Amino acid sequence: MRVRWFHGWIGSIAFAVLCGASTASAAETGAIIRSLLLPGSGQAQQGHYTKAAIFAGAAVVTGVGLVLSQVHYNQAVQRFNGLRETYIGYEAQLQNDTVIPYSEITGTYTDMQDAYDDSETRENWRNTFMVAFIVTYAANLVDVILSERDTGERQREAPVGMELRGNDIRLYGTLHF
Amino acid sequence: MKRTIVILGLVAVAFTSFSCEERQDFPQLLDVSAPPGPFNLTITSPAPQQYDLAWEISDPAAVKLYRVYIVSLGMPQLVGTSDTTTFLAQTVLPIQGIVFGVSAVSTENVESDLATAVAP
Repeated sequence: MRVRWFHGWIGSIAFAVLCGASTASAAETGAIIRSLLLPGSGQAQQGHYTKAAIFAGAAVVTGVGLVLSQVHYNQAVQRFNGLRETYIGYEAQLQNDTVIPYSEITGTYTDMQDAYDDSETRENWRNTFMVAFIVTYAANLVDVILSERDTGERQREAPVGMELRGNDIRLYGTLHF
Repeated sequence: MKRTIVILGLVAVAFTSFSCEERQDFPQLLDVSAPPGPFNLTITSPAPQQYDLAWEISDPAAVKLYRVYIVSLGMPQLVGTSDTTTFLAQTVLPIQGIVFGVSAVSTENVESDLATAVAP
Protein backbone atom coordinates (compact mmCIF):
# COMPACT_ATOMS: atom_id res chain seq x y z
CA MET A 1 0.00 0.00 0.00
CA ARG A 2 2.76 2.40 1.01
CA VAL A 3 4.72 1.53 -2.09
CA ARG A 4 1.64 2.33 -4.21
CA TRP A 5 1.10 5.81 -2.82
CA PHE A 6 4.81 6.46 -3.06
CA HIS A 7 4.73 5.48 -6.73
CA GLY A 8 1.66 7.69 -7.11
CA TRP A 9 3.63 10.67 -5.87
CA ILE A 10 6.54 9.90 -8.14
CA GLY A 11 4.18 9.49 -11.10
CA SER A 12 2.45 12.80 -10.37
CA ILE A 13 5.77 14.62 -10.15
CA ALA A 14 7.01 13.01 -13.35
CA PHE A 15 3.74 13.95 -15.10
CA ALA A 16 4.01 17.56 -13.93
CA VAL A 17 7.62 17.75 -15.07
CA LEU A 18 6.80 16.29 -18.49
CA CYS A 19 3.87 18.68 -18.96
CA GLY A 20 5.98 21.63 -17.88
CA ALA A 21 8.98 20.65 -19.93
CA SER A 22 6.92 20.06 -23.07
CA THR A 23 5.57 23.62 -23.05
CA ALA A 24 8.68 25.39 -21.77
CA SER A 25 11.44 27.21 -23.59
CA ALA A 26 14.99 25.86 -23.59
CA ALA A 27 15.98 28.11 -20.65
CA GLU A 28 12.92 27.03 -18.67
CA THR A 29 13.59 23.38 -19.47
CA GLY A 30 17.11 23.84 -18.12
CA ALA A 31 15.69 25.32 -14.93
CA ILE A 32 13.23 22.43 -14.58
CA ILE A 33 16.00 19.87 -15.03
CA ARG A 34 18.14 21.69 -12.48
CA SER A 35 15.32 21.71 -9.97
CA LEU A 36 14.67 18.07 -10.71
CA LEU A 37 18.26 17.27 -9.77
CA LEU A 38 18.66 19.72 -6.92
CA PRO A 39 15.65 21.54 -5.45
CA GLY A 40 16.12 25.29 -5.58
CA SER A 41 18.78 25.32 -8.30
CA GLY A 42 16.18 25.96 -11.03
CA GLN A 43 14.82 28.91 -9.08
CA ALA A 44 18.37 30.20 -8.70
CA GLN A 45 18.83 29.99 -12.46
CA GLN A 46 15.61 31.95 -12.91
CA GLY A 47 16.92 34.61 -10.55
CA HIS A 48 14.59 33.83 -7.64
CA TYR A 49 17.30 33.49 -5.02
CA THR A 50 15.09 33.67 -1.91
CA LYS A 51 12.88 30.87 -3.17
CA ALA A 52 15.98 28.93 -4.22
CA ALA A 53 17.37 29.16 -0.70
CA ILE A 54 14.03 28.14 0.84
CA PHE A 55 13.59 25.11 -1.42
CA ALA A 56 17.21 24.01 -1.12
CA GLY A 57 17.13 24.40 2.67
CA ALA A 58 13.84 22.54 2.99
CA ALA A 59 15.12 19.74 0.75
CA VAL A 60 18.32 19.38 2.76
CA VAL A 61 16.47 19.40 6.11
CA THR A 62 13.80 16.92 5.01
CA GLY A 63 16.34 14.77 3.13
CA VAL A 64 18.72 14.51 6.07
CA GLY A 65 15.76 13.93 8.39
CA LEU A 66 14.53 11.17 6.10
CA VAL A 67 17.90 9.38 6.06
CA LEU A 68 18.41 9.69 9.82
CA SER A 69 14.87 8.61 10.66
CA GLN A 70 15.26 5.63 8.31
CA VAL A 71 18.49 4.61 10.07
CA HIS A 72 16.82 4.92 13.50
CA TYR A 73 13.81 2.97 12.27
CA ASN A 74 16.07 0.17 11.01
CA GLN A 75 17.84 0.00 14.37
CA ALA A 76 14.53 -0.17 16.26
CA VAL A 77 13.22 -2.90 13.95
CA GLN A 78 16.43 -4.92 14.34
CA ARG A 79 16.10 -4.69 18.13
CA PHE A 80 12.46 -5.78 18.01
CA ASN A 81 13.14 -8.66 15.62
CA GLY A 82 15.99 -9.88 17.85
CA LEU A 83 13.85 -9.83 20.99
CA ARG A 84 11.03 -11.50 19.08
CA GLU A 85 13.34 -14.35 18.04
CA THR A 86 14.47 -14.76 21.67
CA TYR A 87 10.88 -14.77 22.95
CA ILE A 88 9.63 -17.26 20.37
CA GLY A 89 12.70 -19.42 21.04
CA TYR A 90 11.64 -19.86 24.67
CA GLU A 91 8.83 -22.20 23.61
CA ALA A 92 11.22 -24.66 21.94
CA GLN A 93 13.67 -24.41 24.84
CA LEU A 94 10.96 -25.18 27.39
CA GLN A 95 9.87 -28.18 25.34
CA ASN A 96 13.51 -29.38 25.31
CA ASP A 97 13.57 -29.43 29.14
CA THR A 98 15.56 -26.21 29.44
CA VAL A 99 14.59 -24.41 32.62
CA ILE A 100 13.89 -20.70 32.08
CA PRO A 101 13.08 -18.25 34.87
CA TYR A 102 9.59 -16.78 34.56
CA SER A 103 11.04 -13.32 35.24
CA GLU A 104 13.26 -13.70 32.15
CA ILE A 105 10.27 -14.59 29.95
CA THR A 106 8.16 -11.68 31.17
CA GLY A 107 11.15 -9.31 31.03
CA THR A 108 11.83 -10.21 27.41
CA TYR A 109 8.13 -9.75 26.60
CA THR A 110 8.13 -6.26 28.16
CA ASP A 111 11.32 -5.32 26.31
CA MET A 112 9.80 -6.63 23.07
CA GLN A 113 6.66 -4.52 23.59
CA ASP A 114 8.80 -1.43 24.23
CA ALA A 115 10.88 -2.14 21.11
CA TYR A 116 7.71 -2.55 19.02
CA ASP A 117 6.28 0.76 20.27
CA ASP A 118 9.64 2.42 19.64
CA SER A 119 9.77 1.09 16.08
CA GLU A 120 6.24 2.38 15.45
CA THR A 121 7.18 5.85 16.69
CA ARG A 122 10.28 5.88 14.52
CA GLU A 123 8.28 4.63 11.54
CA ASN A 124 5.88 7.57 11.96
CA TRP A 125 8.83 9.98 12.00
CA ARG A 126 10.28 8.33 8.90
CA ASN A 127 6.93 8.63 7.08
CA THR A 128 6.55 12.26 8.16
CA PHE A 129 9.98 13.12 6.77
CA MET A 130 9.25 11.18 3.60
CA VAL A 131 6.01 13.10 2.98
CA ALA A 132 7.75 16.40 3.80
CA PHE A 133 10.55 15.57 1.37
CA ILE A 134 8.13 14.61 -1.40
CA VAL A 135 6.01 17.72 -0.83
CA THR A 136 9.13 19.91 -0.88
CA TYR A 137 10.34 18.27 -4.05
CA ALA A 138 6.94 18.51 -5.76
CA ALA A 139 6.40 22.14 -4.71
CA ASN A 140 9.89 22.96 -5.98
CA LEU A 141 9.08 21.46 -9.38
CA VAL A 142 5.64 23.04 -9.64
CA ASP A 143 7.13 26.40 -8.70
CA VAL A 144 9.93 26.22 -11.24
CA ILE A 145 7.46 25.23 -13.97
CA LEU A 146 5.01 28.03 -13.16
CA SER A 147 7.58 30.75 -12.43
CA GLU A 148 8.94 33.07 -15.05
CA ARG A 149 12.50 34.21 -15.29
CA ASP A 150 13.26 37.28 -13.21
CA THR A 151 14.52 39.77 -15.82
CA GLY A 152 14.97 42.53 -13.31
CA GLU A 153 12.64 44.80 -15.34
CA ARG A 154 10.22 45.32 -12.50
CA GLN A 155 10.81 48.31 -10.34
CA ARG A 156 11.26 46.94 -6.89
CA GLU A 157 10.49 48.67 -3.70
CA ALA A 158 13.28 49.13 -1.21
CA PRO A 159 13.30 46.24 1.29
CA VAL A 160 12.94 48.63 4.20
CA GLY A 161 11.25 52.05 3.98
CA MET A 162 9.84 54.89 5.98
CA GLU A 163 6.97 57.24 5.22
CA LEU A 164 5.27 60.13 6.93
CA ARG A 165 1.54 60.04 7.49
CA GLY A 166 0.24 63.06 9.34
CA ASN A 167 1.96 63.06 12.68
CA ASP A 168 3.00 59.40 12.38
CA ILE A 169 6.16 57.90 10.98
CA ARG A 170 5.61 54.46 9.54
CA LEU A 171 8.40 51.92 9.05
CA TYR A 172 7.77 49.05 6.68
CA GLY A 173 9.59 46.05 5.29
CA THR A 174 9.04 44.26 1.97
CA LEU A 175 9.89 40.68 1.06
CA HIS A 176 10.35 39.66 -2.58
CA PHE A 177 9.68 36.11 -3.74
CA MET B 1 26.26 20.76 -13.44
CA LYS B 2 28.32 17.56 -13.64
CA ARG B 3 29.41 18.03 -10.05
CA THR B 4 25.77 18.39 -9.00
CA ILE B 5 24.86 15.17 -10.77
CA VAL B 6 27.77 13.32 -9.13
CA ILE B 7 26.77 14.61 -5.66
CA LEU B 8 23.15 13.63 -6.21
CA GLY B 9 24.24 10.21 -7.43
CA LEU B 10 26.32 9.67 -4.29
CA VAL B 11 23.40 10.78 -2.11
CA ALA B 12 21.10 8.37 -3.93
CA VAL B 13 23.57 5.49 -3.50
CA ALA B 14 24.02 6.31 0.20
CA PHE B 15 20.27 6.42 0.73
CA THR B 16 19.53 3.17 -1.07
CA SER B 17 22.36 1.46 0.84
CA PHE B 18 20.29 1.87 4.02
CA SER B 19 18.19 -1.21 3.45
CA CYS B 20 14.71 -0.99 4.87
CA GLU B 21 14.38 -3.53 7.67
CA GLU B 22 11.16 -5.53 7.65
CA ARG B 23 9.41 -5.54 11.01
CA GLN B 24 7.91 -8.91 11.80
CA ASP B 25 4.50 -9.40 13.38
CA PHE B 26 4.09 -9.14 17.12
CA PRO B 27 4.07 -12.72 18.44
CA GLN B 28 1.36 -14.39 20.47
CA LEU B 29 1.80 -14.50 24.22
CA LEU B 30 3.47 -17.77 25.26
CA ASP B 31 1.13 -20.16 27.00
CA VAL B 32 3.12 -20.38 30.23
CA SER B 33 2.07 -19.42 33.72
CA ALA B 34 4.08 -18.31 36.72
CA PRO B 35 4.89 -21.33 38.91
CA PRO B 36 4.10 -21.15 42.61
CA GLY B 37 7.10 -19.84 44.52
CA PRO B 38 8.50 -21.45 47.69
CA PHE B 39 7.94 -19.56 50.92
CA ASN B 40 8.79 -19.88 54.63
CA LEU B 41 12.32 -21.05 53.85
CA THR B 42 13.98 -22.11 57.09
CA ILE B 43 17.58 -23.17 57.60
CA THR B 44 18.95 -25.10 60.52
CA SER B 45 22.50 -26.25 61.05
CA PRO B 46 22.56 -29.74 62.63
CA ALA B 47 26.37 -29.91 62.36
CA PRO B 48 29.21 -27.59 61.36
CA GLN B 49 29.15 -26.88 57.62
CA GLN B 50 25.82 -28.69 57.27
CA TYR B 51 22.61 -26.87 56.53
CA ASP B 52 19.14 -28.34 56.59
CA LEU B 53 16.78 -26.39 54.34
CA ALA B 54 12.97 -26.69 54.45
CA TRP B 55 10.28 -24.67 52.74
CA GLU B 56 6.61 -24.66 51.85
CA ILE B 57 4.76 -24.49 48.57
CA SER B 58 1.15 -23.61 47.85
CA ASP B 59 0.58 -26.01 44.93
CA PRO B 60 3.01 -28.97 45.05
CA ALA B 61 1.28 -30.68 42.11
CA ALA B 62 2.36 -27.89 39.75
CA VAL B 63 6.03 -28.30 40.69
CA LYS B 64 8.40 -30.73 38.99
CA LEU B 65 11.43 -30.05 41.16
CA TYR B 66 13.13 -27.44 43.31
CA ARG B 67 16.46 -25.78 42.68
CA VAL B 68 18.71 -24.81 45.58
CA TYR B 69 21.25 -22.00 45.20
CA ILE B 70 23.94 -20.28 47.26
CA VAL B 71 23.56 -16.58 46.63
CA SER B 72 26.95 -14.92 46.54
CA LEU B 73 27.26 -11.20 45.72
CA GLY B 74 23.73 -11.27 44.33
CA MET B 75 24.56 -14.08 41.88
CA PRO B 76 22.84 -17.42 42.54
CA GLN B 77 25.08 -20.49 42.20
CA LEU B 78 23.20 -23.77 41.75
CA VAL B 79 24.15 -26.32 44.42
CA GLY B 80 21.56 -28.98 43.81
CA THR B 81 17.98 -29.98 43.13
CA SER B 82 15.32 -31.64 45.21
CA ASP B 83 12.04 -33.42 44.51
CA THR B 84 10.76 -32.66 48.00
CA THR B 85 10.50 -29.54 50.13
CA THR B 86 13.73 -30.28 52.02
CA PHE B 87 17.41 -30.24 51.12
CA LEU B 88 20.63 -30.99 53.01
CA ALA B 89 23.50 -28.77 51.93
CA GLN B 90 27.15 -29.11 52.89
CA THR B 91 30.03 -26.70 52.48
CA VAL B 92 33.72 -27.55 52.41
CA LEU B 93 34.69 -24.54 54.50
CA PRO B 94 32.74 -22.80 57.25
CA ILE B 95 31.12 -19.68 55.82
CA GLN B 96 29.60 -16.97 57.98
CA GLY B 97 26.23 -15.57 56.89
CA ILE B 98 25.77 -17.88 53.92
CA VAL B 99 22.63 -17.10 51.90
CA PHE B 100 20.58 -19.92 50.40
CA GLY B 101 17.91 -19.53 47.75
CA VAL B 102 15.24 -21.98 46.61
CA SER B 103 13.13 -21.82 43.45
CA ALA B 104 10.39 -24.07 42.10
CA VAL B 105 10.45 -25.42 38.55
CA SER B 106 7.01 -26.08 37.11
CA THR B 107 6.03 -29.01 34.93
CA GLU B 108 6.38 -26.56 32.00
CA ASN B 109 10.08 -26.02 32.98
CA VAL B 110 9.39 -22.46 34.07
CA GLU B 111 11.31 -21.40 37.16
CA SER B 112 9.84 -19.26 39.92
CA ASP B 113 11.50 -16.39 41.76
CA LEU B 114 13.94 -17.28 44.55
CA ALA B 115 12.99 -17.51 48.18
CA THR B 116 16.10 -16.63 50.18
CA ALA B 117 17.21 -16.98 53.78
CA VAL B 118 20.46 -16.53 55.71
CA ALA B 119 21.93 -19.60 57.41
CA PRO B 120 22.43 -19.35 61.19
